[in-house]
Amino acid sequence: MHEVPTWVKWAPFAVMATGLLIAWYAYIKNTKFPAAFVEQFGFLYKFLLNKWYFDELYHYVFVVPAMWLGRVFWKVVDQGIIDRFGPNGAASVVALGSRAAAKLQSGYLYSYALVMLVGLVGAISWVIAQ
Amino acid sequence: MDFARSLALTAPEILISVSGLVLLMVAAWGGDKASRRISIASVAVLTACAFLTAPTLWGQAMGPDVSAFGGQHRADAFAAFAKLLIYASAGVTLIIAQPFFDKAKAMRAEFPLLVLFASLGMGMMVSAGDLLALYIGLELNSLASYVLASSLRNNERSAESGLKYFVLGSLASGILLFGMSLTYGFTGTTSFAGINAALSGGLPTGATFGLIFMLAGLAFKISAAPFHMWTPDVYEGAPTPVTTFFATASKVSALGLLMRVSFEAFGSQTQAWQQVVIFMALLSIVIGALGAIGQNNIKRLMAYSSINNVGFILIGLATATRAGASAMLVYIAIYVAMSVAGFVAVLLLRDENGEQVEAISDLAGLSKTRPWIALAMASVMFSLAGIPPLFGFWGKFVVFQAAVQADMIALAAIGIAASVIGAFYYLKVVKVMYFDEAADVVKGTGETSHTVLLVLSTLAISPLGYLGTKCLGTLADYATAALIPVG
Repeated sequence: MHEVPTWVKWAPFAVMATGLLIAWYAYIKNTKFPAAFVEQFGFLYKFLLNKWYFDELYHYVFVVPAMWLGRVFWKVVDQGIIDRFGPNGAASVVALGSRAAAKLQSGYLYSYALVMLVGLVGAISWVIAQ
Repeated sequence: MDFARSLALTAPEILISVSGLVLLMVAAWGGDKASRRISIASVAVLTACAFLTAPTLWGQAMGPDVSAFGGQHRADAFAAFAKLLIYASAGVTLIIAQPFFDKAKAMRAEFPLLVLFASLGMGMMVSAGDLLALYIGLELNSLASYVLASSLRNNERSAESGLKYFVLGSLASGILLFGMSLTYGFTGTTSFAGINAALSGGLPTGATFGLIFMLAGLAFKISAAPFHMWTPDVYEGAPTPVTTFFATASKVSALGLLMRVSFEAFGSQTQAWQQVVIFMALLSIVIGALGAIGQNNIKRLMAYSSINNVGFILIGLATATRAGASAMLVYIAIYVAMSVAGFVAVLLLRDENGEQVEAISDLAGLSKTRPWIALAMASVMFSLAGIPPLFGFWGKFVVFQAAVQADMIALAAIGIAASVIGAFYYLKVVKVMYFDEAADVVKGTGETSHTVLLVLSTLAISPLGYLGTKCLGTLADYATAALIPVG
């Protein structure tokens, strides 16, 4: 099965015993020791207190890029490109077109006749150009 | 081909002409008091003509046996299909016009006569086998229509619409005549068969001009973009029964004529007109949809809707196939039913003074005050938008199916996409009627004849209409077979 060296089996106990010893010394025997240690090894103390700065590492390596990527997809791709050229764009093109159609529908005969003649000329040019 | 046979083939036209002239005498002696009797007699004449025409369609008449007066007039199944729709629409117009004009105290004895003569012209249009027969039929119809549009003489908008229709119609007629003379000049004949034979070798530039000018002149009549500009103004200004007539009978006849010209006179040069028809179809669909947005007048909305629907019908023509032509006829028949239902529903909307209600905002909450009219109107709107359970969907379906079969998938796709824009304003009317606070403007009660017609036409466009698809499809196929002979 799992053949592990005997010292590995004893290692947790040794670490626990060391920790117990240090804790007993620092908090019961000599209560000034922690403050002195912090003063002496401030850097090490902060490093341990902040859990090896793992949270910060995660934050900068994974969370920030993920947030940035999300923002890009949301603001630029979704709102800027998909919405703009998709639903909103189509809607505004339709609104624009309907305003243009209303403007052309002026009620005056000459503009109606003009549209007819322009259409006729357009159709002829298209067929002749083919 | 003896003279007696020609006369027998033109029996419906002769019947309308003779009875029209007799009724003209009655109108001259009897005055406006006789208008009711003249209307009834006119409806009877139209019914008789329908009975004279129906056997031609059922008998699948086609070929040289049914061409009268040296090929000028064709009494084939295609003409019969269109004529039945025209006579039915004219009959409906007369039935709804009588109470409408009575209420406005403006009924004139010549109104039914003008409808009768316009129907005669339309019948000649769809039967035309020659450029001259085409032109005479078209003008007979147009001149009567100009007067009909302005038949509410004291109404400024009606007079304006008649004048606008007349001026622009004259321009279109001029364009059409110019095209006809160019075509005649380059082919040396005015008969459709002769033109087709002369162009089978190739299309000279001059004849191309002739073709495009003729298409433009006819596009005006069917109100296809960009020759549609008169439509909203005329539909809005003309009395509602007359608008019904324009949206149904006029459309049917002009579309029938366009099909005749395209397939019979220029059938050997389909590529030349296909491009123009595709252009007009797409432009009509888009302009019809865009223009309707923001309209507050229901008749104006129906005008844009007619432009939009003509675009869909033209998709059938753009395929230049038999399936496309047959699909067009099916769509036209359904469109006639939808238009009748729509305009009759509009006619039933009156405020407490008996005036017509035409503003869409005044329809708010109609579902609570007049639930049945609202239901009929909603059916028309859903049907025009082509939403499946209603019959309007079938027309769009067959047209798009024909386009896909003819490998015009892009055309069908654009058409379907644009019909989504159209759905917006159709649904807006439904939303106003069903979800807005009641405006409580619609008060008056309608005529029995209007209600009966509304019920009948609404049933026709309801899902019950699908029971008739097989019959309608078969008849459209008979008509198409006469238009485009096999082989």
